[in-house]
Amino acid sequence: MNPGSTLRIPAKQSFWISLKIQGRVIKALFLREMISHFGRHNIGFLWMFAEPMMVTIGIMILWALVGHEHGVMPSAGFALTGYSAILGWRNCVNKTSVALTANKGLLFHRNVTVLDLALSRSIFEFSSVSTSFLFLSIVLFGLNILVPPVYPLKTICAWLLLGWFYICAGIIALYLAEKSELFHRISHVLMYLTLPLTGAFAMVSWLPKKLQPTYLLSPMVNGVEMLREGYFGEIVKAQYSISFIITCNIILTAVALFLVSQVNKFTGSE
Amino acid sequence: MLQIERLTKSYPIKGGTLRVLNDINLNIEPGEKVAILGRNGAGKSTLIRIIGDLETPDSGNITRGMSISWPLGYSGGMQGSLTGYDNIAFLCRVYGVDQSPVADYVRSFTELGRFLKEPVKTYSAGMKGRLNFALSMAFDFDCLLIDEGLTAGDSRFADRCHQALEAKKDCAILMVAHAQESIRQFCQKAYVLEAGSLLSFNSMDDAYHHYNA
Repeated sequence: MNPGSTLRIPAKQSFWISLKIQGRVIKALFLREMISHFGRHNIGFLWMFAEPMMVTIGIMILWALVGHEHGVMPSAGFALTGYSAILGWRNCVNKTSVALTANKGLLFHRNVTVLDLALSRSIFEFSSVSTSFLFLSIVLFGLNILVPPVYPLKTICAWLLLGWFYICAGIIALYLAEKSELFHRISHVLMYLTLPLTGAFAMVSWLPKKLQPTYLLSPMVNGVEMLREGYFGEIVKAQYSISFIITCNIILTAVALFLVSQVNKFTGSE
Repeated sequence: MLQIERLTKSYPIKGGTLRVLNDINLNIEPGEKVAILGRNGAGKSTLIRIIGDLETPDSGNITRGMSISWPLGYSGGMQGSLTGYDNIAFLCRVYGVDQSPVADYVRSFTELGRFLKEPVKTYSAGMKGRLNFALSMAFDFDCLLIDEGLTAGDSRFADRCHQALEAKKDCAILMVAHAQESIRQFCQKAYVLEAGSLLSFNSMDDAYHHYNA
């Protein structure tokens, strides 16, 4: 009955094997997220991007109705880029912050680390929003509402740079949530207050000259500016610095990796 | 071989720290069956969690020369909102083994039948313990860590567990428990964990005698 030696679990591993194991664990966790988030009922994993899509469509209709004036940018495009960015930020932070609580039992396995849980959850959330973004772009193009991106590569790079930022922020949120009860109480307020920092609601060039440098201190504003330039071309008069985004992301990555290593597997605290 | 040297662990408590484990030394050879006896709160589970890499000790060395299972007990090791089968699939992916032989083995060992298609959070404690134990047997670890003895399930299941463990001659086992008779028959060596120290004895009888005194 016992499957026996075919299932041998080796005791010691080299660095490359460890890396392979981590990849395997993250993949398993990613699939686990898909299954338990969306179940096997009705449209199943399609919820992965149907959920962010519904929000984005709702906002697009709302903004179109109130007649947001965006100069040269189509209002659907403004809403699509802006709201995808907001969702990426919000979902990565909110949902990664509770990843440990939901998966506590899985941490009993030596190969499953807190970092694996944080990474797989935030990558999963970013993938959902990305899929919804991509899908809506195609649909809106099909309906003749939106043109395809002017600079596809720049659009993708901007979105990935934003994703890098969101994922790191999500990992840090997990640390904060584990360390302090306070985080759960203030996280909603905090997320609301950070909305302007996402860069979704206004282009830098719409603001008074005096405010612009301050606004550009947010890496997310830089990212969204770049995203919109990639999508709509130079006519949107974007202002951003790629090196600034990358520098912020590298620092954030280091902070996230350090903090997550301080989270105890069993108690969640130090 | 599993080697533990000069292990200490303290927890912060109101008004100071509590030293749960103090200078623990322990060696487990391949195939050896070892029991650690202790009363509630003696630090048994803490020790097993440290060996299982769930917690970090304050100081001391652990050399893991063999593959070690996760600490087996009533809880832990599984994700509640996933079904039994999904948990099996998850663990097979994590440990990098084929799913179908493991699923077959677990199904016949646990006799959980259609419940394996239900979320684990709907299981009773005994059912969870059965699934957990069967899973750990399906993967071929060199050393099993068992928290709270073999108390999962009914006596029929306990017999199955004993048979399965007897069959694993090369597999080392570290159990922490209160002093149950079933463990006395099963293990060759017993320690008593008392006031943070691990006391070793020449025979099982001596250990039980000390524990019950």
